[in-house]
Amino acid sequence: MDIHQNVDILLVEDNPYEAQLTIRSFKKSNLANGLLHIDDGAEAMDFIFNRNKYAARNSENIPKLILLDLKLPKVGGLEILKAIKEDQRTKVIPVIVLTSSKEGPDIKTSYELGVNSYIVKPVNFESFSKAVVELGMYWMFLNVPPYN
Amino acid sequence: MGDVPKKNTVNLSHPDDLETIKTKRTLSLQNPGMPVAFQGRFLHSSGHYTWLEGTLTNLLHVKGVNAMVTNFRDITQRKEVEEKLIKSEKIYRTIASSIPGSAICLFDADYRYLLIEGDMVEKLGYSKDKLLGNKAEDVLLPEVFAGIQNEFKKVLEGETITRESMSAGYDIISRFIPLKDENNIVYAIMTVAIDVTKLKNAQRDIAELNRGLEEKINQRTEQLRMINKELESFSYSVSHDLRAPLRIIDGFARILMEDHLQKLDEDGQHSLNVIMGSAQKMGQLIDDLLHFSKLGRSEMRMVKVNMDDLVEEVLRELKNGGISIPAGLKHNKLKKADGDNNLLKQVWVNLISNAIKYSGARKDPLIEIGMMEKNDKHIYYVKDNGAGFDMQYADKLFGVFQRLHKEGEFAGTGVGLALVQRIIARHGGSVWAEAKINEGATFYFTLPEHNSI
Repeated sequence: MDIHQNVDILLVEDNPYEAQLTIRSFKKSNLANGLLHIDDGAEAMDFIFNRNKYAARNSENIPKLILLDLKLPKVGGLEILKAIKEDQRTKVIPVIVLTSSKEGPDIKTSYELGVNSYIVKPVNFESFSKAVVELGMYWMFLNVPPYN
Repeated sequence: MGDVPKKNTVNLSHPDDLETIKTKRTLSLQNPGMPVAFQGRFLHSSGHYTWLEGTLTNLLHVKGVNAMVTNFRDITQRKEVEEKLIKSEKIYRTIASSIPGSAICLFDADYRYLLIEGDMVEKLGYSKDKLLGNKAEDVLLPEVFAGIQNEFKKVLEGETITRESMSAGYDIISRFIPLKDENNIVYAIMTVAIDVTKLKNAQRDIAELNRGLEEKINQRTEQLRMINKELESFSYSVSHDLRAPLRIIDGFARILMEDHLQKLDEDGQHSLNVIMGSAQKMGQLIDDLLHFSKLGRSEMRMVKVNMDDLVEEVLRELKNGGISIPAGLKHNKLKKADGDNNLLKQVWVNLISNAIKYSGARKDPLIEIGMMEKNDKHIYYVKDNGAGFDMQYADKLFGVFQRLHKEGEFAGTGVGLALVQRIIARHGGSVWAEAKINEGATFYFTLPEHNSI
């Protein structure tokens, strides 16, 4: 990709098919233009914090929304969430955590780390895509970010 | 000095002592002026014999006296103690020699050995001959005597003492007992030592076994904890990892449905529906299974549960969830039960929604929720007039994923009744069913009372 490209939505998801389905839902709602998909936790960190191959990126250009899967290779979703919410420059970015299960301690941990929304992906993809698009809309358009 | 026996000494002698006394008199007559000691029983004026000890002196030749002079004192009491000791000695000897692994000793107030008996004497390294008649402090090792001196002192004051010790490789229990006369004066000390080595060894073995057992229990508990933890993370990854591919199957089937439907003939469209339906179904199975394993492991909070309120709550929630409650549903008065509110709610949810589901095909569905009392037990039940089932398969009713109806007839994953059974079993109660095909089914359950609530 062109590293100077404007990114509205950052999708961090390692499963290519899940990503494909999510992107399709955004496309159907015309939200996919500024969407960037990264399938690796470490690379997502590089992008968010302008490091390594993203070092030359304009640091003013931060995503309006991050969709974050919790199960990721190398650097896990909760770790990324923690880094985002601890950094003054990035903590204002709304983060939606996506996960397959409502079991386990992830939900509580995510909220403690300051997640903005949390979606348990249902098996029924229609429900999921509806939830994702609605939340995307909310954070992209309805919610007034503090830096505007 | 008691009353002086009247008449002369010989006439008053006890017949058994008469010979001795006669001999003493002869001796005295032959040795004028020399006091001759005597001891014997003499008739008292009140008619009984008393023990007397004294001297007889021939003073027949002394002018102004001209008599046999007798000095004596009453020793009846002392004689009685001696007799008692001799008698009890026999008893002690008999006892000690007939109890294997024991030693009995008698000491006088000066700690002198009066009696030693029992096979433990030699086993503990003592010799009867060396001890008998000697004072304990003279024949025992100084450290051994020092160890019992205190006890002896206390026993002389009337105390009874028990102590355990180890000697010559034996576990010994010793008792120090005061022997008292009629006036409660301690006149001797008895010690009884018993070899309890076998008993102690058994005790040690039991303690050792208990320690081992405890260790084993701890190990097993830890294993169980690990297994539970594994199960938990297994459940978690099952829900996580199995649902992801299902979502993809469903999602991509939906893409076919939305974007490529016109390219599929009727058969293709049917296949697509089956794929999506099955993905949904599998999702439901995974959810139910997780729910099942979670309920089985969750902590129970026992309270008095108002079953009437609970049933009303369940009916309200079912209604809110879009399930229509038949007009023929009757809720009879129920008594309170001891249990976990949330878990019992799940029982009612499953039994009532089952009754609604299986009677749903009837024109006049009747459902009765009630309670019977039998032998002080509360038997709760949910009865319907629905599809029922063949009692032949009743044992399969409560198994996980077991279903008695075809997929097409009634929806469900077969977890509901398994869940009911698991919850009731965790409460210590029982659940069973009676049914007839096409006439309906009744599900019963009991819950034991918990006194602590």
